[in-house]
Amino acid sequence: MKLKVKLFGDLIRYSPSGRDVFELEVPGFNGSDATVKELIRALGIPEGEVWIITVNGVQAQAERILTEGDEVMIFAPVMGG
Amino acid sequence: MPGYQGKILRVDLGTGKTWVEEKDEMFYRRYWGGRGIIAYYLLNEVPREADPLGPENVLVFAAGPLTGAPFAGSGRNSVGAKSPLTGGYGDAEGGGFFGAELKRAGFDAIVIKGCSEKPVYLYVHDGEAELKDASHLWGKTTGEVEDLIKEELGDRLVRVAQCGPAGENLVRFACVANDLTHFAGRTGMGAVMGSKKLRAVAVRGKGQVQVANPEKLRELARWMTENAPVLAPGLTDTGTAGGTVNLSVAGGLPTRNFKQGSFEGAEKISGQTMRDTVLVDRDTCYSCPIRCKRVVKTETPYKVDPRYGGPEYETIGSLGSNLGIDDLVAICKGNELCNAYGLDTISTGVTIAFAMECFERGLFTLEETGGLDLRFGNKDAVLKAIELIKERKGFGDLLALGSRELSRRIGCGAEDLAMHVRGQEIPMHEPRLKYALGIGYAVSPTGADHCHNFHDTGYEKADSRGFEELKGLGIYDPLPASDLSPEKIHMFWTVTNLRTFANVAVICQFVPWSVQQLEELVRAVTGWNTTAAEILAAGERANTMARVFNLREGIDLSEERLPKRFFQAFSEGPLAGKAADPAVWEKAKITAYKMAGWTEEGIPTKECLARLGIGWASKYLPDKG
Ligand code: SF4
Repeated sequence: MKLKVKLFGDLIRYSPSGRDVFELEVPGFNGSDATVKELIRALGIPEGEVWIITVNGVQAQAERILTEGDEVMIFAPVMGG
Repeated sequence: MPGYQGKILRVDLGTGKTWVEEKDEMFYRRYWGGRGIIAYYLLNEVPREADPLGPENVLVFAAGPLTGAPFAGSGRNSVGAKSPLTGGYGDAEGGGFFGAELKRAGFDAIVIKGCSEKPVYLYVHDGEAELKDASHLWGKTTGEVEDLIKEELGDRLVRVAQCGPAGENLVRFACVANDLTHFAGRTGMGAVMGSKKLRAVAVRGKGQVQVANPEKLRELARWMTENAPVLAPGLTDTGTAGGTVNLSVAGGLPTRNFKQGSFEGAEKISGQTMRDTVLVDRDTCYSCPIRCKRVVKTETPYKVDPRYGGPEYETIGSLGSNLGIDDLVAICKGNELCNAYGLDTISTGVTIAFAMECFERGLFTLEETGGLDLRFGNKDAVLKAIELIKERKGFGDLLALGSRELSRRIGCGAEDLAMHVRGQEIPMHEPRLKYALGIGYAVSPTGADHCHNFHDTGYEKADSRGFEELKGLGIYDPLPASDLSPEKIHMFWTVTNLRTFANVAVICQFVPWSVQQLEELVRAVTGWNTTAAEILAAGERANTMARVFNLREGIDLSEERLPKRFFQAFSEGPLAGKAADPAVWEKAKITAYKMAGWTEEGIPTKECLARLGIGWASKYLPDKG
């Protein structure tokens, strides 16, 4: 399943390409049972570093099931300065 | 002496005299630098009820014991004085190279009193100081003054801190610019410079900052250079503006004078879009590998000069979303103008946002604004307003007062639309998203401030990086951003004291040093046997002294509150229906007072001052203390 992923803030360090926006072919995901949580795990992002997730522009929970072509944005917590 | 030079440069602009005051190790260990030294001099040398823009006010440029040592984040300096914006304690910190250069020139701080009759600038070089005529610099932009001073001194490497034409004209939120691209933005320190007719301070030194354990320091510096790309890649990639979309999605991006928390144009003005469009370079501060500073250049529709850098997140919010502007180039232009004139972008933007809301509600007519069509989103009106503020012409003369004073003059309920705490405009962090941050705005010695404040969203999860730090300080339970329990207040004070430490050691808060590494840095630079306890106490001591100064000045503690707007929930968006209950919030504020060792009225007790080793300050407390 191919997903469009966008990582924000320091999460960019988990990007396979080094860029914040990339497409990801996730092996082993078969349409109906792939969740955001599994995507985050596949990228190697620790749960504590994730603040907000959106799927196709709408806030989503980790259990949200993903489908082919979804655009997933993952945000790190914003501190301040 | 490792870490400090032991010398403070004293200047009396009234007589034109300069002299050197020597201080011993315990002075530096107790007060460190930055806010600590500033509060010390303000308490001891500014007479009670002195006019912030008069000769009795004392202006301090202060580095700290860690400033200028060769490691990431050590180039900063603080600028402090009694604030013309709040009427109380004022200070702000700027990055760049000025602080490091001041130390190399042989001084830990410069303390300036009096007012000059004619414009001057101060030239400090290798232990010497001279006042030079600045008549030819008066009225010029920061860029022009920087060039002229460097040319006149025949030294390209001199570092210039200056107030800009806005400071000359006593705009109450005028800032101090270091090297054109770094700013001690808040509390109107540029106006204090202007009132003293001190247009600039130029420093240059060929000396070194002595370091107790150079090998250990090199090891730490190398570690950060190697690890910064893993620890802070976001700051390098997109700068501080990298969080713009995050905040909008969370519902905490100040939009249209804080009426909304999400902005439909957030992506267009984000750090990501900046990187992909107008960014031409990344700039840095002394010894820092992170390079979070932006350099932007555009030709149309506005020409933006890259020598003034590029907007920080605060400016993206204050000249962008909070004014309903989704045009990144227009924001870059506004940023360039503020930087060329020496205006704090936060107070400039938030004061204009206030005027826009008043205008849309009919509290100002087009005639009263002198033809400025101050509807949200009107970028040309904003750029024109910035010009008028700098010149203090027409409607700009009113805007130059800042939102508190302007709202008082308007009356008719306008006070409720002015987003400030004790006169300082609220920065781009939303108290309806971060609840304890709102408490921090209220109890801060400088009015609403984000730098020494606590950002709740970083401490919600046990395995988050922010929270990991706190475990080493004895805090084990992460809490939701909307929590205002005593446990949260304890977390708030711990982080506030830690962040204030950065402002007394005078180092950058963005460089991700752990608390343990901070201990090691202090030990390596100064040779002191410093622990985390001493670090937290140093921050707390400086904050407490600044508070005592405010109390001595008769600051009305009933003003330690948030504008009503922050207790009214948004009607839509991710935070719809969520806002602190005013009674719960008030109780949390009193908990914060008591936990700090203050009375329920917010006055530090004698015991609190004794615990912090500043018992002498009790003579400045009001009777109840
Ligand atoms: S992190 Fe940014 S602000 Fe801090 S020292 Fe480095 S370049 Fe300067």
